[in-house]
Amino acid sequence: MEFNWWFYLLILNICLTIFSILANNRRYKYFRIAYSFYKKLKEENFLDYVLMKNTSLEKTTINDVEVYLIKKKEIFWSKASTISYGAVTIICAIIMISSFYGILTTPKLVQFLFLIILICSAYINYRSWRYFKFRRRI
Amino acid sequence: MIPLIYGLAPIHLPSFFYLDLIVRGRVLPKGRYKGEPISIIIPCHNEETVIGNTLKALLKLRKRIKKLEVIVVDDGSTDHTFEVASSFKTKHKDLELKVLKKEDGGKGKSWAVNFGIENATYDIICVLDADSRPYLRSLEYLVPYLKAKRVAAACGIIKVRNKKVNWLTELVSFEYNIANYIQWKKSMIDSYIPWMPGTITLIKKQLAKFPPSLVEDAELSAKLIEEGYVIIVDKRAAASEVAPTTLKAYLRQRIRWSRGNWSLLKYYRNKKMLLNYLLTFFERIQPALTTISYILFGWGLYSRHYTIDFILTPLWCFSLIVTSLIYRQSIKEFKEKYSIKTYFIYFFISSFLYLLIWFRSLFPIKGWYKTKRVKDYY
Repeated sequence: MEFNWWFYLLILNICLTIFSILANNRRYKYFRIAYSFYKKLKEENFLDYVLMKNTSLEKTTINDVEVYLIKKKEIFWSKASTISYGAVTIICAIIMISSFYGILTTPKLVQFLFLIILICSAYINYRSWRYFKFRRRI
Repeated sequence: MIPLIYGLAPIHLPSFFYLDLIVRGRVLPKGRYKGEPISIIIPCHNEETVIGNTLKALLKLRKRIKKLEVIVVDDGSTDHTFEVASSFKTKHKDLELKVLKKEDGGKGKSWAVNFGIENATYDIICVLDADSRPYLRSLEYLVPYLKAKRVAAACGIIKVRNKKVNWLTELVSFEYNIANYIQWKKSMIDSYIPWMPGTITLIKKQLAKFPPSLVEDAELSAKLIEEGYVIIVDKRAAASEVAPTTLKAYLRQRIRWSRGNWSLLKYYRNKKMLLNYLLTFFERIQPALTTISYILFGWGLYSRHYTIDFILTPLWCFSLIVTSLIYRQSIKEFKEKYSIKTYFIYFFISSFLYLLIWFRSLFPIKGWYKTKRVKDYY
């Protein structure tokens, strides 16, 4: 069986989408851990933690090593999920647009497959934050 | 028929960014209001028709917010704004109300707001338009955000009170709904700059220095974000406003905003916020793209190029899907209802109106272009 170049790209995109799901899960796992940590000590400062940037990591509100490490891991997985989502979107958009304009000679089904992956990846990212609940067990 | 529908839809290159705005977001914890005192600033310029009812609405807030100071700044009104507000003060002595008159007024909203802030007692400032009526728990929802160090301001969303008056007010309500959604989502993603709406805005007193501009709220937002602060929009907090009821008033208001937006471009040179930079760039040139799209559409009709593979059809298809998605999401999030007529009017007419506003905004405007209020609505 002969595989075309788009087939490998399709596999790559599916892998990136699955990776995006895992990265989102890891990200929100650390988010929940941080919340449980703050809930015991200073719940009102949790917003400070959420809005904390890479540059302000040294000055954590509770100023604890544990918070620093949790935030670092959360930022890492957040970046990983954003990058994988961005990569999937860019690849799908380029293939769809180029196919529409006839630059790439791919079967029509391929455009739809990439469109479906684009929609799935977008929905996974949308769902991860939109239906998040603090109540779930860590 | 198909190219006819697509042809009337302008090219929405910003659609790519709107899709990003729909998809991404963040989880924000909601805090509890613990009785923090608030100073409400209401700048007024010829607002006698609405100011009395606004103050009445603020009386209701005292049930939930014990320490509430209201400062009405009369910014050189030529009507009875000062008298109406002062008489309210004599009737309701229990309300902490200050009515200030700015003698050299009429220069713009920023001067009046800054004057009010100078006279404010408390550290949390709430800026309200003279016709804005916050919903009962709106301020309670917003105050807890200001406890965070990086948060400079927390804002609510604007709803239109006179939505049912005519097609234009319903259109404005629909437009606000979409704008609210976009600002709400921008505030959730670090790559974008959300704008404070200029009303139902809670801001820390030490940061509240509104620059002299036609869009002082947007300019201050951009400045604060450049300094590393965050602006939060909470969709639970809302205030109702009166939308312009005539096309002339609507156009004047939009031309003022559009003209002011040109001055904001200097804040978007920050390449660290590449997505915001690109989105603003495309939004600014969108009317020009719209014109090109109409010319191409006309050419398509002239050359009898009716089929679906018309050169820009895929792009229009994409923009159509994203536009519909943004309409759906904004209506779902804010639980508003509109007639089918409004969707069609917005889709087909708004691009012509925006084009008109955009061309007019390229030229200077005389004075402030303040919206005149003829009547109040409940």
